Amino acid sequence: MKASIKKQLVLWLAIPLGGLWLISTIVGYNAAFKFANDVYDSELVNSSDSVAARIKVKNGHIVVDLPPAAQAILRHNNTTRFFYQVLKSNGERIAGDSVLPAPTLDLKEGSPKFSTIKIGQSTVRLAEIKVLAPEADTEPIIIQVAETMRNRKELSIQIFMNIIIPQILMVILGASAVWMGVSRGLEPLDSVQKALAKRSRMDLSPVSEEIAPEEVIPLIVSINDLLYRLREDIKAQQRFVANASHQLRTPLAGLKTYSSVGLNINSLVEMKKVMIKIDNGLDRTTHLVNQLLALARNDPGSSTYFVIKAVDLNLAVSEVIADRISLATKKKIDLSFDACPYTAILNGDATSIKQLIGNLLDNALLYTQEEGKVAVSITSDSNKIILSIKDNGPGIPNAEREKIFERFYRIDGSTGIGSGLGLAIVREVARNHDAQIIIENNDNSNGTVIKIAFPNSENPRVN
Amino acid sequence: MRILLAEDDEFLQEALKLGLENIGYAVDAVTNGMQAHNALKDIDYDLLLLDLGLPLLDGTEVLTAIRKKGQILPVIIITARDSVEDKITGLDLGANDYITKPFDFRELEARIRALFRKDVWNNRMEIIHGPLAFITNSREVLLNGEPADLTPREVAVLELLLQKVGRLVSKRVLVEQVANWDDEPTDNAIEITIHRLRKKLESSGIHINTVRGFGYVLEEWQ
Repeated sequence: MKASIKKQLVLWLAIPLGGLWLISTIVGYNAAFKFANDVYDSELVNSSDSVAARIKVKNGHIVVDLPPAAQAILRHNNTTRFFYQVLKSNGERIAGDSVLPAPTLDLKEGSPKFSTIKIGQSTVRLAEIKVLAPEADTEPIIIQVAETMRNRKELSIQIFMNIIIPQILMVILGASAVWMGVSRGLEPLDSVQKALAKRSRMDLSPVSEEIAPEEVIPLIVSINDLLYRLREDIKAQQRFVANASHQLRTPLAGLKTYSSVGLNINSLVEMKKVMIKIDNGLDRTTHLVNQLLALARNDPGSSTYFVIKAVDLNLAVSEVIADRISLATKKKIDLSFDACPYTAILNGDATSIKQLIGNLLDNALLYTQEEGKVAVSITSDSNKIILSIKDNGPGIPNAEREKIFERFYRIDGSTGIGSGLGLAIVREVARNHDAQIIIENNDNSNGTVIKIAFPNSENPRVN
Repeated sequence: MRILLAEDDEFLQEALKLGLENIGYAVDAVTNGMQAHNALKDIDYDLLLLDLGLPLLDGTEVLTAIRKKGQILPVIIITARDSVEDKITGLDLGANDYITKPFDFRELEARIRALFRKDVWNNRMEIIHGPLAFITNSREVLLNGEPADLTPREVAVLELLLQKVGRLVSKRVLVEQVANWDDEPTDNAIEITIHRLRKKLESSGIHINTVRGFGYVLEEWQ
């Protein structure tokens, strides 16, 4: 079951409120009953006094002179039945209703004893008291008076009702106040919910914080943060689709155009020029396909089985550089390599690592102007082996530094045949080898330093 | 007919320029949106071929800007963005046609012809001027039913004159429409072209008059 704040609040307020009401009901009932009892008990004692006053000594005999008219007075009303009995202290009956039980004999003089007993079907309250009758004070007399309980019950119910009815009203009022208060209090949440619900699925603009109470603002801030990240993800996705279709379709459009144009050319010389273009275009497309496959191979979702073995980074870099010497020479770029003076061995997949080095080096050579400088170096310490490629090319603006690792992304205005996949491959290979990528400015020029920090698995410098 | 081609991919740009020039259009190529924007300020192009993913100024921004300024030249968008939304956006921004990469060059040619036919020739397939017929699709010129032996530049000049029969076509317009940036003909070259064209047409009774210091008029057929 989903937790409803409203229900929870009302529940947590209703349980203690109900408990309090129950306790006060029990206490109230007991108090009312005791009070009614006390009142009628003292009345009963008064009645016994009235009986005592009627005890006289006649002819040496103790007699009770209680005519029916006097008995009627002792009854409080017609609904109550009244019983009395007068006995000697040894329990010998002198007068009264014989239905009353035998008296308690160990009564103390002057202090009445009360008990609730049954006479026939009816429950009665019995008071027994040992007194010296004013007009027969030779020996103590036991007086029993009893009356049915009806009056007491009525009084106690009356008192109880006077306590309990306002309380019930208070509980009801309290509960409805809580319900209304909670509803009112939660209205802003409702308006936040409505504001979100009526949005179109394209609307990812932030939710206004003004409509929410203070407690809900952190929630709104989180929602807005999530919306922001979603917007950024969608933008990246849109960039990816646009860039991918551009990078994949444009060379094909070029090839297709050249082949159509070539078909309409009659001059062999002109035709040959077109064929050279088509040949270059196919080289570029081949490069693109190779990059796509390299990316697929290094993709975290691929099931490629890598052969992880010791790779000598010094050796790998010199092999990759050897393949690019002619390109560097053609652009008159000063390409240098400072190998690590120690052995730089890392555990990894040799093919992927060479692709990483090759892509970084290709970028440096491609985007650095003629007669520029590209310096490759490897350094190591006990934790890291760092491959560094430094150029004095045009540099990478800070705003582009995240995006350049996106697939098919190319910096605005990039020329050349780049596929936009090189750095995406670098990122995947680095990720697969737990390596960090660091981009820095070349302090001596506009250019860039890209560093790949591999974990040093061999620790060769530990003595 | 002078076309501005805005495409940032050099390979495709060169291919399109070559293909369009081979069928007789004058083509200027630019690689970014800013260059396209500036080029459109200077020269009255007959057509803009516009890639959307241009650096510096996006193709949609270029299109928005020229339509806002009230430039009426037809625009064909050439792009890799092939979603229906992109097409609708492009066309609604003022493009006249939308073609997605990769495309068949012959289709692009046909779409350009269709645009010019509508824009320049009011959907006429054939322009008849006495014994002369100009086939708008193929840009062929027939004299008395026979193909006339004209160079591409002569056809380009005749095409402009045919658009304004009996009215003055200035020399400046002729230079501008026949030229591209790589190959700017001088006034002199235009004079030579007119001279040769006259010679080839005069025997059929078609006259091109010179308005000294201004330009030329193709005389109405009596």
